[in-house]
Amino acid sequence: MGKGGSGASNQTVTTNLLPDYAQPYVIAYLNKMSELSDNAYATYPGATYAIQNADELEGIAALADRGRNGSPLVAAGYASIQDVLDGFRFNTNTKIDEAYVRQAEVLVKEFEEETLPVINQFFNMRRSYGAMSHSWAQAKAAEKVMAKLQSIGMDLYFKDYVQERTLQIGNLDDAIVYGDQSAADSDTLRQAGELQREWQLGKLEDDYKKWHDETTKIIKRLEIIGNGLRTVVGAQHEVTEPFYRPSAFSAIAGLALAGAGMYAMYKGSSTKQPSLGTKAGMPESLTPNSLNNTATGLMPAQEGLNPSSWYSTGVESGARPESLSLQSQFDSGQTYKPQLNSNGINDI
Amino acid sequence: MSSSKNSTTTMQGLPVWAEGYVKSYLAKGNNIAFATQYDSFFTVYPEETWAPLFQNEIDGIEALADRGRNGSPLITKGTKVITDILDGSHLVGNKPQFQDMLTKTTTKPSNLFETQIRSRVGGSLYSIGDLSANNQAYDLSAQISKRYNDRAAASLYKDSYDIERVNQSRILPKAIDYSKESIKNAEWLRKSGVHYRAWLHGKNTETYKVWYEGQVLEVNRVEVLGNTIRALVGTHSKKTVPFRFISKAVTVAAGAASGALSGGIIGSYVYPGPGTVIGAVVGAIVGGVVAYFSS
Repeated sequence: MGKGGSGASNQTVTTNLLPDYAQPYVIAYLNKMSELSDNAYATYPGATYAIQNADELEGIAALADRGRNGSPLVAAGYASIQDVLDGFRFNTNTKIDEAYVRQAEVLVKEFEEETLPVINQFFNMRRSYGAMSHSWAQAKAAEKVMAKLQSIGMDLYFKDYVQERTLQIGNLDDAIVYGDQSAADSDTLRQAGELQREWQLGKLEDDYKKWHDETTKIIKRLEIIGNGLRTVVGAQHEVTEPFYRPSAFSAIAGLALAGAGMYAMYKGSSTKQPSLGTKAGMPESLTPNSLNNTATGLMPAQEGLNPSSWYSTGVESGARPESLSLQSQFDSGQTYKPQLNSNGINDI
Repeated sequence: MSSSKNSTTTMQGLPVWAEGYVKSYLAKGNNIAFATQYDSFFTVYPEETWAPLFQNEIDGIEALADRGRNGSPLITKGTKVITDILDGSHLVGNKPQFQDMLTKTTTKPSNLFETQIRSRVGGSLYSIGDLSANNQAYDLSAQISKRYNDRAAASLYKDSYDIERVNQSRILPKAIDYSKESIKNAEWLRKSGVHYRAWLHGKNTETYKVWYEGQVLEVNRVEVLGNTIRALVGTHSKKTVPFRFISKAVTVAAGAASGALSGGIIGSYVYPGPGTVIGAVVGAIVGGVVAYFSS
C-alpha cells in the first residue's frame, strides 16, 4: 500500500459469484470432501480377474490337441488322395481279374460245348471231317473267341485305367483342401497357445492395475479435496487497491484559503468604493451596469449582434447572419462563442 | 519535483472461508511429494507385465512357418499330376500305369486263348495213318492272339491319347488354383512372422512402459505438489506499479505559499499596513511547518 505524500488507505471491492445462501452448502461439501480425502479408496479385497473354468481349459487343450495331431478323418482322406495322386490305385482292382475270368469262362464254355461240336458235326455230315476246310473252320471259330476275349479285356482293364485317371484329376481339388489342413492345424495350435497367453496376460495386467491402484490411492485421495477446491475457485472476486486522498493539511490549507478569500470579498464589498467611471475618467456609458444596455453601453444595437435579433432574422429556420459565421468572426476580431442550434449541437 | 513509491493492487479469487482447505491441500501435496514415509508409493513395478509365449503357440507358429516355407506334400503331388498332364507326359502312353494296364489287357486274353481255346482245335481231327502229322487248325491259329493284341494296343494308345488331350484342357482351371498355393504359402509364412513379431512388439512396448515409469517416477511424484499448485493458479493476483506523488519540498513550498496568502489577507484587515507583511510571514512559516509534518 503506497502512502505517498498524502493520506492513503485500501479500498476493497468484493464480487460474490456464488449466492450467499449457497455458502453453507459449499462449506458442507468441502468438509465432506476433506473427510473423504482422508478415508476413501481402500484397496478392493475381492477378486478382479476370473480364473479359467474347466470347460475353457479343456476346450483349449482340445484345440491344442487338434492342432498338434490333426483329425484322424482328415488323415485318412489325405492318405487316400495321396495314393490316388501317386497312381497307387491303378491296376489294383482284383475284382476285374475275377470278372474277366468269369466272362471269359462263358466264351470258353460256349466254344467247347457248342461251337466246336457243331463244326465237327457239320464237316462229318459232309464227309470232310479232318479236311483242310475243317481246320480252317475251327481256326476261324477260335479267332472269333479271341476277338471277344480281347474285347472283354479292353473293356474291363482300360475302363478301370480311364476311371483312375479321371479320379486322379478329380481329386486335385480335394488335394488343395486337404493339403491346407496342415496350415489350419498349425493355426489352431497357435491359437490355443494364444488363448492361454491372453489369459495369462490379462492376469498380469490385472495384477498391475491392483498395484497401480494401491500406489496411487494417496494421490486420488488428495485430489478429492483438490477437486472440491477447484469447484470454488472463482466463486468470489475480491479486489483490494490503494485509495489516495488529500492530506489533512491540504484540506485545512484549502479551507483557509477559501475562508480568507471569502473574508476578503466580504470586507471588500462592504467598504465604500470610489466610482470607477468618474474617478478614472471612464465614460458613463462604460460602467458595468451599462454593459447590458445596448442603447448606451459597449454593445451597440447593431443588426445581427443583438441576440434577440437572431431569432427575428431566421436563426430558427437554420439561417444565420453572415456576420456570425466563424470566418466573419475571425475577420472582425470578435471572440468565438459556440452557438447551439435547435438540436443542441454546435453549429459552426 | 516529484517522487514515487510502489502501489499494490490485490485480487483474491478464492473465498476467504476456503483458505483453510487450500492450505491443508497444499501441505498434503507437499508431504506426498517429499516425505520419506511415502517413498514406497513411488517405485517401479517389480513384476512382469507381459506374458511369455506358451509352448503351443510356439509350436503353432513354427508349424505355420514350416507349412509356409515347405508347402504341403499332397499339394506338391497334385502339382506334379497337373504338370505331367500339361507337359503331355501321358500322351505317348509310356507311363507305368498305362503299360501295366496294357499288359493285362493283352496278356489275359492271350493266355486264356492259348490254354483254353487254341489247345482245343485240331486235335480230334487226327486219325490213324494220317499222312500229315501236323495239326492244321492249331497252326492256322498261331498268330491270332498276337495279331489281336497288337490291334488292342494300337487302339488303346489311340484312345488314351484322345483322353489325355481332353485332360490337358480340363486341367487348366485347376492349374490356376494350384499356382495360388505359393501365394498362400508365402502368406502363412509371413503370418507366422507377424504373430511372433506382434508378441515381441508387445513385450518391447511393455518393457518400455516400465522403463519409462522408472524414468519419470520422481517427476510424477513432484507433480503431485505441482497439481495442487496448479489448482490455485489464478486465484490470487497482486499487481505493484510505481505511484508518483508530489515531493516533500514542493509540499512545504505550497503550504508556505498558501499560509502566506491567507496570513497576508487576514493580517491586512487585522492590522492594516504592516499587518499584511507580518501575517504573510507568520502564515508562510505555519503553513510550511504544518505541510512538512503532514506530508
